[in-house]
Amino acid sequence: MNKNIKKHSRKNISDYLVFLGPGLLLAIAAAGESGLSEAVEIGAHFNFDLIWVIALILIFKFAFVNGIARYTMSTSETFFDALKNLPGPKNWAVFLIFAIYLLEMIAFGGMLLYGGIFLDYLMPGANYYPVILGILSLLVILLLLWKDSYERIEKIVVAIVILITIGIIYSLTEFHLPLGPIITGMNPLIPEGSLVPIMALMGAVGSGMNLVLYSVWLHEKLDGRRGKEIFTRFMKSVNLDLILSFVLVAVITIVFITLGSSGYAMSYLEHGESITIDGMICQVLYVISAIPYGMTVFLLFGYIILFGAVLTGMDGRSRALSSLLVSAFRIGTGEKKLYHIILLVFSAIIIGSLFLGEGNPLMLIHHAAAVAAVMFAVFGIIIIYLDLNLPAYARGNRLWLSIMGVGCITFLYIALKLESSILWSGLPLIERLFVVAFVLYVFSKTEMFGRLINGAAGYMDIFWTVAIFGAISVYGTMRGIEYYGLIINFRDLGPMIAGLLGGPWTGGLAGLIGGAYRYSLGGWTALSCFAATVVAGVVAGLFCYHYKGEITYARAALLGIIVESLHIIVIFPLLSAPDSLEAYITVVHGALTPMIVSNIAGLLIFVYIYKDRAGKLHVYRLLPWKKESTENIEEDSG
Amino acid sequence: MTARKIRAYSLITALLLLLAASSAAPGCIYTANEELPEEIVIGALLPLSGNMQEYGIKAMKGMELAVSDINEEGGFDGAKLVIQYHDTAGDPENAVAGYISMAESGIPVVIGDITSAGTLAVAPYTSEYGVVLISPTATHPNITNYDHVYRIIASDKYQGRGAARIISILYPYVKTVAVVYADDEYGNGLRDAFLETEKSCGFEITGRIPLDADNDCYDEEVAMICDYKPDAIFLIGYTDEAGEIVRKVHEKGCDPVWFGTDSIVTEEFINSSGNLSEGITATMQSIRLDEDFRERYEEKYGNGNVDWIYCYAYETVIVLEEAIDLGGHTSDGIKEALGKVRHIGIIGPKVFDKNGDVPPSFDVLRVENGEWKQIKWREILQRKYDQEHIKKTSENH
Repeated sequence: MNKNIKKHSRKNISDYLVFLGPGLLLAIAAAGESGLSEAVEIGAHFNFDLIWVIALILIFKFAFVNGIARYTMSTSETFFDALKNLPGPKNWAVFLIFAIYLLEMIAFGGMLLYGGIFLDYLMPGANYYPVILGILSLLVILLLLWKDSYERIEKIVVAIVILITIGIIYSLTEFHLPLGPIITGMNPLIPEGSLVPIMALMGAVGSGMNLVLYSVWLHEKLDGRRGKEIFTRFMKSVNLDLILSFVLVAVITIVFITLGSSGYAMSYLEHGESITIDGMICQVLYVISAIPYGMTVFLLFGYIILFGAVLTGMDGRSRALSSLLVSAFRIGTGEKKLYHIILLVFSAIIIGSLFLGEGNPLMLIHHAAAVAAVMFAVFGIIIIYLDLNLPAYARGNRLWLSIMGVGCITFLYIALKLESSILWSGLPLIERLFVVAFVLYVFSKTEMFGRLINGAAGYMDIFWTVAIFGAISVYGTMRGIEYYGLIINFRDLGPMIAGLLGGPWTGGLAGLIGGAYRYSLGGWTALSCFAATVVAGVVAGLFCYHYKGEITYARAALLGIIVESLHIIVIFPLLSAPDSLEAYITVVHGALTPMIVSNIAGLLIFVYIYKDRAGKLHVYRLLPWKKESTENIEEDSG
Repeated sequence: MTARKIRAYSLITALLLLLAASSAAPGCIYTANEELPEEIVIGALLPLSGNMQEYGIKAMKGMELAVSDINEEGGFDGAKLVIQYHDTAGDPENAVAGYISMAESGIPVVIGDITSAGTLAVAPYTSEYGVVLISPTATHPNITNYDHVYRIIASDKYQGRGAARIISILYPYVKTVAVVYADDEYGNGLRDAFLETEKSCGFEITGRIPLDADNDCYDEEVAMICDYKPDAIFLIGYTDEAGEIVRKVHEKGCDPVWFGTDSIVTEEFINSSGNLSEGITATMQSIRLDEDFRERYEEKYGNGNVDWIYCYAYETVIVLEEAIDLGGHTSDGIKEALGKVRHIGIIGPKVFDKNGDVPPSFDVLRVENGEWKQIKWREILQRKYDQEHIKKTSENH
């Protein structure tokens, strides 16, 4: 009897321990990235006022991973497998995750650069530069990953966990955690200027898009096992793993906030006062230096944290993507080879961002984290959708659903509230594109649309097309956002779609309407914006002609890049004559990416809609008075 | 060799080539130390005589220790470092003359002046002569405005406001404060920074009393202080005059809280004010000494109370060594290199921003048993957080 009880309790305990590990690994990445790059700065600028954000984020992210875990345990599929079967255009979520992971490599470049700065302090007098140190770190990471040895990586990461824990305990002996301000910080107030940091925290604390990799790790540990029994037996272990991880993340984050806050206190700076990255590091080092060897230990641990985050992040993402590519697109190349290729692609982006972010690596990390915050809302909705299709035993309860729902809405709300601060990402413009999408959808259901794509359009159809897309162009300007005298917008989208539908003349005329409205608004970029809008319509018409009407998603994206690059890089400096190179660079830096992103988003919506009606677009003659091609009509009637 | 290995080696080679290419660009700036002379000479402007002599000599001792450390390590590829001193006697005009003469003799970098007045006097000439000026101790906020001027110590715009903040944290009962300040660039700069905080620190500044360095006695100033009857005095003065003020105010029967700045954090101030210095608090620039350095100092000078001026002067030379190593023995090279140096030494981490300033960082000290002792930041922060918590809670109610 006694033996049975002992055996039973041992089994129970071991059930709790089976899945301890993956979550803790995630905690490393989270503690590393968010602690060093976000929390220290948050503490410096806002003291403990944003503790409530961290608490809410961690609750949401717990629910987020819990949803992923339940899906994986009950179906034995990874979250990535689920993405392939979502409703909508084929594999859209796969493309989305691919794009996000590529984007995250920019942040990884920022982390290696930041780590390079840490190393630069550790080696005084040596002729080292953070960029070179970042590249060297990347080289070591590649060598470690090249053999695809997960065991080795796991050991390295576990060693880093131990080192960080020791470092934090060591630090805590010198400066206390002020409980009073932490409790007061649970009061949900949004201090002035804190929206961007809040969004960066949302993206980074408790791990960024690393979290979806949890399902890959879990899938490997499950080894094909699934079903109700496995779920009931092991879900508690998963939850324990997650709870421990998020508690650890919370503690580490608060410690880093305290570090930042203390550094600012002893520097006599005001909260919110601007400070360079080196200035911030110096202040933290002063606080830490109260402990013997504190500075060296902190710099070394800081470097290891960042190194570890990039190492595990690159590994997990490459594995996930290689597996996705093989299964979603049936690529013949072996998964391992693909893993290596993806690692190289990632490395190329990381090296690029090392040079790009030399002056301000934290900016790269913040921007990627802000995008990740929006993606949490998108993937949160996907998880809710997946959850609804799970067997009853695995489905989330009402509390879970409420947390996820409120969390997704909050993440989106903060993103939209931020629109003027995250111009670079084009997110607020994409939100406005939903209006355009609605108009396009309605337009696509008309007979006129059918005549246009079949080459049967008359002059009245062309007239209405010019009018409608000219109006969309005007709307694109009206809902644009002013940035350094330039209105960042999707004004070019209307003429481009008109050009694709009705040829260069139609596009040019629609551009004339949108451009004229923009010109009437004035400003030092008025003339170049007017010209660029007309050019956008004409170029789109020529583009359609060149590709014989076969406008795919990739070609639509290419068109967006060509038109916006022409606009910002060529027409703008030619016709607007910026005061200085600095003014030109400011505009290019601030406007190019969001305009490309928003216009491409609009074009992709258009391609999705027209593909629903026809295989390809009709190709209109460059000179309208000549007889139009009847190619499409013949094909369609045939 | 298998195809897999070939691929792996190709990857490593490609990355190494990339690394070499990327390292070539910044590296080519710093190759000037190949043709170094037998001696690398740098200049220093110090008040080695006059009423600031005490500070000047301490700075010289710190610099000489650094020189001996550098030369013992082999100097610059065998070339010895030598500092050519110019005695300014505490006169800014004299400092200008010294700088010009050193610049004309081809010296690429000049350390100095240790006073804000001297540094501010020389600063306008630096763009004309193009010779880098780096001060170990000048703290006036306006020094930040010159292209060729660097300093390894933080601006007083931070120390002034910090002093006000620390007074309100450590002495929350203080409601009135009198500012007693040396009537020169240093004193006026700190006074202004302190006055800016008047509205936010919870006390009223009731008196502003300048101290004229030419005075033999300060009876008039002491009478004014006692008339104001402030709860606390913010004392911005040099060792001797500060000691005298503390003594005379006490003799008049006044007993305010005394709070000072880095200029009184010296052994001489404690000697000058005797037992009255007990409990006096001051804010000063951070120093992170290791035991090894303290022992060496004690061995050399017979006591272990390492003065902060000594440390800042020592570290200025060490940072310059790093800059010359990186950028070569030219003013342009040194200037460029100073913008890249990330240094951790006995006064903590130092990195210059685009204005040639370093990030601020301070300690708070108190005289205990005849010695300046650092108050733990844990204690200060604990009080600060407690006060903020009480304030927020009362506001919410």
